[in-house]
Amino acid sequence: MSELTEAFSNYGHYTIENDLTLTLPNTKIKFQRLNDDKFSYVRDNSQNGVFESLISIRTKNLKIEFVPSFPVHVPAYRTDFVFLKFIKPIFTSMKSTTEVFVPVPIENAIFFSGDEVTEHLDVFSCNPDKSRFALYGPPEDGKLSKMSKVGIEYEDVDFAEPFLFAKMKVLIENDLKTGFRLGKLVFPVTNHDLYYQKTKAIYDPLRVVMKDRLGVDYPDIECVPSTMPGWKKVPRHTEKTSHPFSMNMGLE
Amino acid sequence: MAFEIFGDNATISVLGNQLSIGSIVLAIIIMAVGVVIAKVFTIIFRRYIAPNLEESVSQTLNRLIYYGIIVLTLLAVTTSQGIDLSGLMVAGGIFGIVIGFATQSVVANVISGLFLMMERPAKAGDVIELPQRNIFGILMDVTIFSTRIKLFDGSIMRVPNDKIFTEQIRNVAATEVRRIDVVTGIAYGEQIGKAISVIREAIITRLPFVLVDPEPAIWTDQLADSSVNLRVLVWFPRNDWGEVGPVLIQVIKEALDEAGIEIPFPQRTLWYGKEKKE
Repeated sequence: MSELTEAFSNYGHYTIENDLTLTLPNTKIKFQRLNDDKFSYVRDNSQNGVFESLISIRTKNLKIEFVPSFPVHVPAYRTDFVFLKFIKPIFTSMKSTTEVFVPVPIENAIFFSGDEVTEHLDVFSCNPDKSRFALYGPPEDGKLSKMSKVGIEYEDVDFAEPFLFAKMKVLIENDLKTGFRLGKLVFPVTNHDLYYQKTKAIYDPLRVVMKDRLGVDYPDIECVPSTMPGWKKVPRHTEKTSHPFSMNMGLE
Repeated sequence: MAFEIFGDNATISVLGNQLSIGSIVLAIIIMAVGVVIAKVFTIIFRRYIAPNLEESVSQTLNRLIYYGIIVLTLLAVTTSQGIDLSGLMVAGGIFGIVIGFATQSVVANVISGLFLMMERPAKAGDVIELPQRNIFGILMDVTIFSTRIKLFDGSIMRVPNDKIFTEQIRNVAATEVRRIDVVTGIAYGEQIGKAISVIREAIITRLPFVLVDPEPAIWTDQLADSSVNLRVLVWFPRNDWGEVGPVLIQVIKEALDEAGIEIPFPQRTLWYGKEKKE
């Protein structure tokens, strides 16, 4: 069983013999044994009401894995894309490369563990009021995305809010003979893997490559699959995607 | 023995033509080869082309390919046997005219169905509207004769293809998002700016399916008889009308009530001529 921090519970594996309470921002989760093979599950979110479920198990104890999840399930799954609107845009000079860090929203999930098949019991947001849709591009051919307003950090500092945001490194490469300003970032978040360590989460890095396309300039957005020593990879209940994507509908 | 069977002596009469057993065997072989070719073509179609098409379209094209090859094979068989079909053609021609008049709408539906499959104004699962017929629902499939639409009351409407083809079709699922517009009135004594802020805030916080970018647009639409009318436009994911449409006006009303902003009843000020004289 993972150790607990003072304020909030940790991500990780839990074996529940009788009861377990997980404490998260705005959210409390309670598992309680009902009889030999049944548990009750209650998630109480101060913003979004109570969700209850009955769990029937095959083994003696209930084994779960509590993990961060992609921010695409609340209020309902409609898209794989995330739209980050920067509070302050970043300017990248001609023929240069820079590296920044951005908070990317996360949701949280509880998976059954112990069996060969990984199934999830619940996916939720600790801040459902901020989980909103936006459109990147014009209504006739824009891309539906989950939106968040975020700041950019220039140093790899510990800024991400536990259970609400994970950290992502963004590499910006400018091949143009002019600089460009990036005020937003849109990408298919399910192309990335998520990793966790205690209460923190990080995504695979993202590469933004601004290319010269004979006067029509827009960046390609690529996931950079990485190994994260000391971090545990989050299991998936859906296939990893590989959407190719270019931000050709505006950068500011 | 075998030569006797295929000899010229053993003949039968078909439409006035004397056919030998050998030529009948040849016809059977051509027919069998035709069936095999039809099967092979449909297998190739199903494996390489059908996965890229809608199920109903692929089924229709699959049948067309199969029966098209069979018909061509039958023509090849009759030609190989030297059968004179001219008598049949004349009789068939007269019969065809009669049948043609009787099945005019059937043929129109088939042709319209084929054009609809090629043009694809909507695909199965899209929410469509036929404004002239007041039909609004989810497109189920386009078959060779008709189009089936599942209405929102749970019933299924079958519409002949020629009707669909010649009428306006509004596909509300062609883009990722849709918009809904409503008009609400506030009293003349209220501050328009405050009312707009209250409505915008309420929509964004209470309706999770409403897009925050583009954010809800609200403007003064009309200085009407009894109220200042505000037009409210919100965007939402294309299939989530049910999460926004039925509750949008309720959310606006509750937000204005909570902020103490009056939504006026229709009212009229009367001036009496007598009072004017005094």
